[in-house]
Amino acid sequence: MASLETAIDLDETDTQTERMNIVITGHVDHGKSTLVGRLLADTHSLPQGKLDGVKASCEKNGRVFEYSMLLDALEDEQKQGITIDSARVFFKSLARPGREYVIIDAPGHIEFLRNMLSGASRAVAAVLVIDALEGVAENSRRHGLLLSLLGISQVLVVINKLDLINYDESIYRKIRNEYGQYLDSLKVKPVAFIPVSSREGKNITEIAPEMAWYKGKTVLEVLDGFKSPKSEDGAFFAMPLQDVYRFSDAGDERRIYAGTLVSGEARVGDRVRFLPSNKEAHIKSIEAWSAPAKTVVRAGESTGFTLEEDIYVTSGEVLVEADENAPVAASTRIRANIIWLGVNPLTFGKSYLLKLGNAKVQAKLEKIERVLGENNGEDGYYGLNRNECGSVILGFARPIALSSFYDNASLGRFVLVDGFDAAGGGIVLEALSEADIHPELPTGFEEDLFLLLKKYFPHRFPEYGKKPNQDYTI
Amino acid sequence: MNKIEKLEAQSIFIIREAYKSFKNIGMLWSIGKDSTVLLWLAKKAFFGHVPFDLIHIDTHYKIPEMIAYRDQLARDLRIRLVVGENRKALANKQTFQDGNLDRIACCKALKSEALNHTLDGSWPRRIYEPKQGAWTDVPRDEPYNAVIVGVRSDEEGSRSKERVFSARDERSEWDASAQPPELWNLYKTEFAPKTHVRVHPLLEWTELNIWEYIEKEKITVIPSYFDQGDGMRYRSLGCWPCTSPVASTARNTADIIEELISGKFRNIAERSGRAQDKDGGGTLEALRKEGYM
Ligand SMILES: Nc1nc2c(ncn2[C@@H]2O[C@H](COP(=O)(O)OP(=O)(O)OP(=O)(O)O)[C@@H](O)[C@H]2O)c(=O)[nH]1
Ligand SMILES: [Mg+2]
Repeated sequence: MASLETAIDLDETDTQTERMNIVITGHVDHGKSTLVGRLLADTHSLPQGKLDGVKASCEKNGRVFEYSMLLDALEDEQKQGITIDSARVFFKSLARPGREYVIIDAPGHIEFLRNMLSGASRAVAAVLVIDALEGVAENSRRHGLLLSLLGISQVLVVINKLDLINYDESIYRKIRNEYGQYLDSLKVKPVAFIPVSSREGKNITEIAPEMAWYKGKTVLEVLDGFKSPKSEDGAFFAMPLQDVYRFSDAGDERRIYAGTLVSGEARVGDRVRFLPSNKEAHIKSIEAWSAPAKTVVRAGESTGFTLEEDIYVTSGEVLVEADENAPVAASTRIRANIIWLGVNPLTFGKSYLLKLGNAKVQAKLEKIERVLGENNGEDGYYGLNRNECGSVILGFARPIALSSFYDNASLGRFVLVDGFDAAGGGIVLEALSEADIHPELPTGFEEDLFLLLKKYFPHRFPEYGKKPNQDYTI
Repeated sequence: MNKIEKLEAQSIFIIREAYKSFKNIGMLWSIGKDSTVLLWLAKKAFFGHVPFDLIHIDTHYKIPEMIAYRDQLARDLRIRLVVGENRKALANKQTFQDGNLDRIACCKALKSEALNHTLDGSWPRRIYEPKQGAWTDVPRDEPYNAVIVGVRSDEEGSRSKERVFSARDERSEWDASAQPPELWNLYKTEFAPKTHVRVHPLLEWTELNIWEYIEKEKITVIPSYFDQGDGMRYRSLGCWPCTSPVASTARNTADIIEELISGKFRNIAERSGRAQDKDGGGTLEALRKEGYM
């Protein structure tokens, strides 16, 4: 009992010095950057003179001051009044001392979806902004879908620009219902809906008298209520092997197996198994420089072990505890949800580099089960175009160790690289067992067949012949 | 784990990933607090070793204590230190202090150009070899394909939009508006030949986090960050003609943390003592596009 209480105490200390990443999403021009700028200004989080500096420079250049200019720092962004890349800004909670926020202000334009995703992939919670005048727009829906695909379950929906509709409750209600139903269809349960005016600073840090009909919290209060994901310490032990070091200078004889624990804990003396090689060894020591000697390491720590047995393994394998039945398995085929961002469409017959944990493997698209959200293609699903999402089956050239995203987030997500182009990302829904594996066609034959089909039935492959850098906006 | 432990673990992961991915990699080392933390993290990542070169761009306008501290550290830690400089500009007095260039043009000549040409190996490098304990001059050398740099998002607008693995093209230029996606910590480390990569392990750290870590790990930093008795100290270290000390009586790390959390610097930008940032909006971005850190 006593030890349990100590453990709980420890968690409390942690939440007092926590760091929370929140992404701000939504359709282009719906007021994301304005909301963040306002939040920084109204919580006095801006460095002294910053606001006046931006205002003065607007006056000098004959531009109208916008709160978004506090975020849109790139020259191209300021010229065009648009966010191009996600910005990280930092501010401290006033109500919860010790909590720091990293607000990731994402772009709303479809052209910059890759930048929105880069920002969102770092977040544990999201704000989705909808313009009250324009209502639910294409990227309000797309961003909602992407948040659900990334597994971001804490979502605050902010309905903005209420000043433009005279703070009319009925319009707010209508949008709230419409978007609420949409999120429902994605199985996302929003934390709250808030009517605001970012430009006028209403309901951001203080409840506004103009919306006396609104009885909920301010944006700031909801942010302060977001929860950090629970620690993975208690889960099964897993550590992707990042590298094996043998620095022989200055007589150092250690061979160190280095990596970052994604879940669980490991102790000196534990018997560990490497997947997929299935080699086993005992942890001899936990190595660290300029730190007290340790006998245990936990989820999140970047560490290194020496082993009792000298075994040969290479980076990319995953260490698990030998006696534990961890839901990590070596697989050559997965069912996954993916988001395609490549310049060229995702197609059959082509080899991509898949990166998961520290593993890299050649992967091929075997099947598109369905396209999620809006699809950009014409007839039939012969691939995925840029900015499309789909449920697919991927096959690998050799087995790698992985989990489903729901068993272990870090071992259940991956990126795909096409040549030198970071082309997509996804999450593993399930590893498909050996029984699901069909006899492989010789790959050369598969590719030849595909090329022939493409040549003689071009209308069946509508996206394939198009210019690669074409804009696939719907 | 608290936030500082998490930041440490993420940065170590990034440094290891960088080391694994590039054949010729170095770490840019400016002697300041961020570089010092970076070096500390490298030693943590590699269990006391520093398996790559430290690269220092010497503008010859650093405060003298910095250079003395740098050479001492290289000797103590047995580090291979590579020093680059713009010899031509210095010989021809093409600098701000000589009255021949404005601040920005001077930064460009003494820092960006010196950095780009030192990295690609086309200008001479002065190298400290720890085994011999001696300096040598190397007229031409192998290019580095990647360099680890300690920039932080909270320093300035264009840095708030950086990638952890950030590509520069053949002309060392950064296209801020066309960066590739970077999802989770699955960094893309595959690049076309001739691409030069900047790796940024400290993007998510704030100035306060840096000092909190220095305090926690009891890292020695150059004394110029502390008040030596005259009520002045440096908050950010640059070249002396363009960096002024701030009035502060902070004598140790704990004092600095206090100043940043609730004291006089709570709402004052770190680089406010750096004159080159003030010559109009977007200037630093323009410099960074051409290779500035
Ligand atoms: N009237 C009114 N205008 C607003 C409000 N919030 C934002 N705007 C205006 O909407 C325009 C777009 O605002 P931004 O904050 O740049 O929009 P954004 O969502 O960040 O846009 P992207 O990042 O480019 O997708 C600007 O002209 C803002 O002044 C608001 O509450 N009321
Ligand atoms: Mg914006």
